[in-house]
Amino acid sequence: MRNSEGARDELMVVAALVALGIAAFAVGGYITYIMMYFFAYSVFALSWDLLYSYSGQLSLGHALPFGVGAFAFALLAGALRLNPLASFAAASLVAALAGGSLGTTTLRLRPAYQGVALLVLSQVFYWFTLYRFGDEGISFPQVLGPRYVYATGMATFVVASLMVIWITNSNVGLRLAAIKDDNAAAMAIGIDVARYKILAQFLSAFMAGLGGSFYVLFTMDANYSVFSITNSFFPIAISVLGGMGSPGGVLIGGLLLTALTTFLPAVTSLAVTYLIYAATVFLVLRFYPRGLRNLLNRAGVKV
Amino acid sequence: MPTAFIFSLALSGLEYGLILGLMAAGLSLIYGVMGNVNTAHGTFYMLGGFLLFLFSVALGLPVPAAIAVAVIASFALGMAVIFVLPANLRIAASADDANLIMIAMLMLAIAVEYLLDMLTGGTTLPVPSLAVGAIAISHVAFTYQGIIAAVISAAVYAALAAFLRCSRIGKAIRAYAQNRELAEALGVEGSRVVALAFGIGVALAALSGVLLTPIYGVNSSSGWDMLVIAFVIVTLGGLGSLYGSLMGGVIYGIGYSLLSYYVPNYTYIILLAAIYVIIILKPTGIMGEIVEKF
Repeated sequence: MRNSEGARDELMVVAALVALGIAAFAVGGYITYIMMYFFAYSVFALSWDLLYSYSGQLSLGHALPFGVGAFAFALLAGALRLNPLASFAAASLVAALAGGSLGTTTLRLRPAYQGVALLVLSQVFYWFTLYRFGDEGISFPQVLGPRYVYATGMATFVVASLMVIWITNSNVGLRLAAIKDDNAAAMAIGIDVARYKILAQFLSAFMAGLGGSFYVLFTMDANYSVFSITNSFFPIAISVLGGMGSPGGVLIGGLLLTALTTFLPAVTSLAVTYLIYAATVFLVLRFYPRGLRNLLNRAGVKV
Repeated sequence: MPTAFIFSLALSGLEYGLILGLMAAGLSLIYGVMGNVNTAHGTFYMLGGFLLFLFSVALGLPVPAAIAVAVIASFALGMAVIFVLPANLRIAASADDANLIMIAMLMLAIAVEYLLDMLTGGTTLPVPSLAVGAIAISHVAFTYQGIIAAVISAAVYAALAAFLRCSRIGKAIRAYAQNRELAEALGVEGSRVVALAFGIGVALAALSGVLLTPIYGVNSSSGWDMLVIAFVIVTLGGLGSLYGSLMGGVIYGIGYSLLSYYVPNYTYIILLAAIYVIIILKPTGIMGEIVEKF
């Protein structure tokens, strides 16, 4: 299983990415926007991987807590003009509550059904927000200075990464891994399986909510497309590319996908970009299931 | 509200439900044999519509022939997909394997969605009907296409039931769904049964597609709602039962038809939410656990 050395290398990955973030901020311009996109989606991907790789619960509709966080922030800070940082915290909690409790309702379903049930729920939100808020959703003017927005993003990224690294290296992480590997055996050695699965649902929804609220904080627009299947696909794609079950790998996967997203749509088109992503992830799953994590391991980085 | 009108609405729902039930039966068959939900099921519905458009409009085949070719092509495509999957994923040995197949199929579905988006530019294609025109029964319109489609669906149901009950291959599929080890011990070859069942399952989805897309049109993202609907129907009707998907489809269709008269904008949302609550309260479906599969 994991050891302190693994945690050390993972912390180094986080530190390197923070350094990259600071460098990007010093350079300024468009690259800061790219980094903010990276902060939002890597936190989102970590939240999916925490749920899947550490409690064995597949969500094919993880856009749900992300989108709830996004819309809650747009309503609180954009429409109601409340304090942006308080709104940010509140929106993530709303996402945790909504995503966690809806996720909990799926606990009794058969394993293969749980993932699709969450997809069904995310589609309910998709159509509801499309009818209720229209095509354009909620747009609002800047609520926080650009520097503070960037700092919020980096802080969110650091807190979420450390939280996941801490959980996965703790006893809780071991219990969650035991549940994933063998549900019945975990129950037999006295782990309260339901309690830990619910805990994973709420934690994961909270983190996805952080990603979603931050996404709206810097794009200043929340619309129905945050609940789309394509948006549920991103955290899965990032995790598979980076290596499921390895927070360090997932972060590197997030960086790779963000980097590709900055220029692929410009040289091809959005449709071709997503086609390339989905095909690549399928091929990685088929031929190289350990993902980028394997390359990192070979280079001596234990993530 | 005159009773005749409500009766007509329900009849129109029955028509819709029969066609949807076909697709749900495919999803259920695949679940029974493979142990996972085919997350690309809606994609095959959409492909059915696209192939019909391709063969009839672009290549000029007559519509009935184009329908047959589209369904057979989908069957072949489904079998091919199974052989692309790694051997350890073709048959899910654990919940974890089933999850990985679902992720792989989702990736495939998204790749196909954006491939078609690239080819069509995201426009909704007008798919040709088998017959043009409609009749009105107490102010509810019934298209000839819909009526013919419902009749075809009923016939395919009967044929499928007979195939699974009586033919050698059908019996092998049922045996495999009920007890893998025992079926393999008796000489049923797992990977062949899986490929065949997957092919039949997605051909049923494609058949729903060729029958419904002339009414609703088809675009690159129309598969997702159909996946959701098929899943909801299968769960409602109970797993692993042909009869259950038929009943689930009819209940969904009638519910949809009645609700869309009273709350047109939010029909889909209310129906999904209501069925979701039923599924949560009774995870085995409204008809209870079905022990014998198919």
